Amino acid sequence: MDASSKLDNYLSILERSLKPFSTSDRADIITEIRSHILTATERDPGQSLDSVLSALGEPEIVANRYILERGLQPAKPPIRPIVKWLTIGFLGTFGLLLLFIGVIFLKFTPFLHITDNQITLLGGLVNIDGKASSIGKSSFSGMKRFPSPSKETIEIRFSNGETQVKNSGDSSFQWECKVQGRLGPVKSLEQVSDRWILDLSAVKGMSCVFQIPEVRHLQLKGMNGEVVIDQPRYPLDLNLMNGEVGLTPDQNLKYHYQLQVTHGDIGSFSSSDDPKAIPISIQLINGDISHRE
Amino acid sequence: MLGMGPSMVLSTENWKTQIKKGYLELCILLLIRRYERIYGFDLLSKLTEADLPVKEGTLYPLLNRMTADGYLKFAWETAELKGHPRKFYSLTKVGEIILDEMDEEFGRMVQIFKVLKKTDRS
Repeated sequence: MDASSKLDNYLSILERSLKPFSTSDRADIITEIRSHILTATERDPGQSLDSVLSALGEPEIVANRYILERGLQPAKPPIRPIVKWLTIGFLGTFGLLLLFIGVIFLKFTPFLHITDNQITLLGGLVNIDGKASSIGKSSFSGMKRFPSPSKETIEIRFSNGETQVKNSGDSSFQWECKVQGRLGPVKSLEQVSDRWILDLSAVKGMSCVFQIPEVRHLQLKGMNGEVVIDQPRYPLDLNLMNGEVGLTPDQNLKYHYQLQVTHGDIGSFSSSDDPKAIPISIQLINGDISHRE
Repeated sequence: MLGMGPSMVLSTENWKTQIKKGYLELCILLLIRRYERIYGFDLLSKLTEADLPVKEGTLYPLLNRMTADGYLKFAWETAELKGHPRKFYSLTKVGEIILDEMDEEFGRMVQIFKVLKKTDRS
């Protein structure tokens, strides 16, 4: 920048910084300062314009001195661009944080809900039912004792999920289920004539363990999922639309198998024609029936 | 000196600055009265010669305020001078009166100072 431009730039900034003064006063001040600078460089040609301006001081500071001497309010120093952008960045980040907190607040309320047998935290993210607790899962369970030997038929209806069927080893029918997310209303075990029906078809995504006593008949009806049957000691009818069936026979018992898969594979099962053989009927539309050890 | 901790600043610069503020206006008025009319750059030179150096960025705002207060008047002169106009300052009648009062007050303060400085405690 040449000397003339430097001088004009200095005076321009000084003039802008003298905002509290009237136009005529500002012009007067600028003319006097310009006169001083030119006189200084004329009186001492060896003195550079930069040194004269440096001796005067920063134009904003000179302007503030004029303002303070007159008892006026000094102009605030201009905000440097980086300060401005850092401020914008901070406010933007803070705004996003507030938005995030708001979403969390809306999604996970009520934060705490206590009933007689359940504690719900964070809008259902954590459920504690006194028996078991797991992050993001609900659970339910039940039991029914049957006379031994039992002449009942148990029918279990389900929608989808994982089902394990075991022997209870006594006269009780027990079930223990976990469900991902919130649990809606669950139908209890109901008796219809000689059959006990546990209808879980309204429960989505369950993972259940059923412990079956020696009953007359067990019926399982479901849509989708995996069913694992461990050493059944009762006649079994399983109807599944889609999924996997794993069957572990009791080596000490004989079974008569009627296994049907529309689309899929059937493992190797040794069927008996003995009249005392336990009938096992499995019908699967899509999937595999496998022999498990 | 007793009671002087290591953090004490042994300097009268701050006091000098405060004192200067008080009599700078008096000295400026005295110089303008002496030369009847003078412009800013010359006034700076005269103050420096009197061992009372003042920064340019301090003097011009002070002259501006003293003018607004009515102590000084000014006139722009360019006719015989090359290039840029210069602002010449002179005392107003109010400025003359104010100067006399300041002169008198300052003299009184000097007398007080002399009295206090006496080593004789009587």
